[in-house]
Amino acid sequence: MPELDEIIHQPARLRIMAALTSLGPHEQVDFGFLKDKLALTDGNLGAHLRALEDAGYIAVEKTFVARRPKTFVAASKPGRKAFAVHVAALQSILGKK
Amino acid sequence: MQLSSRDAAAALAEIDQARTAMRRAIRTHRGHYYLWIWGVTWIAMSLTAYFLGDSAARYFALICVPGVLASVAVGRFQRRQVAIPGSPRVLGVIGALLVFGALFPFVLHGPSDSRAYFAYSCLICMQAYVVIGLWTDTYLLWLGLVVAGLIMIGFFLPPGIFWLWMAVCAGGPLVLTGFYVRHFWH
Repeated sequence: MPELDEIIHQPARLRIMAALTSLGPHEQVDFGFLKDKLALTDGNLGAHLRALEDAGYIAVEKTFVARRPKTFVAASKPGRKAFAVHVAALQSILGKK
Repeated sequence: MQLSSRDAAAALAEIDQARTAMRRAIRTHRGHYYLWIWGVTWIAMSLTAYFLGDSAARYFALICVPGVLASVAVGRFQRRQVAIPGSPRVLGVIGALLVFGALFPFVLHGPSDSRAYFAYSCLICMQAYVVIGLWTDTYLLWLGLVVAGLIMIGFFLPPGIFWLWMAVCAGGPLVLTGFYVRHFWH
């Protein structure tokens, strides 16, 4: 039976992972774009991204676009896998799988 | 970690909501700007020909220049927020539509006049909308079909009102759809 993931299950991180795993495998979103779409503050989003990055669930790329610093975020392969397992665990609680 | 079925259902609903919102935001990420740019460009071309006569069609390429520059600027701005590699398949389809669209007139000895040429060019654009709409967002499919239908109606109306018709019924729907996308999809 699939296990729930405590790192992912925190509400803000659940939404972050849901949003990031809905992107294609090579797609990345800007920090500001993600912050707007999830209605989180800079500090809140930053802290949750650090937790997810520490767990290896997301990849954070700091780069320059038109000479301005940009932070792009994407779900990593292990992150996608862990999220899929978490979703399967939620579905199994509901008896869907 | 223990969870009630109610909490699990709530979590799954959150996931669905976040995923849908993100996909929708990315698909229509400033898509309305392109609709506005090209809607206004079509209106400008049509009204130029309406007021100055069919011969003003020679300025159409010039009128398109700000549209192309604005589209490039929007594209660059967009890439700063969402980095999406271009899909080779989608780019291939769009390229094929444009290349074949440019070849047909040679085989068929070209559209006979500036009105026919403009209607033809607009139909090629709407063909691209329909194809991309079938692939991604249905609003582009319906927009493409409706505008293509309106272009065909306009083409068979008396020549005197063709350009006015194209401004209102071809450029207008693009601008209005831009407002729809901005208002309801963001």
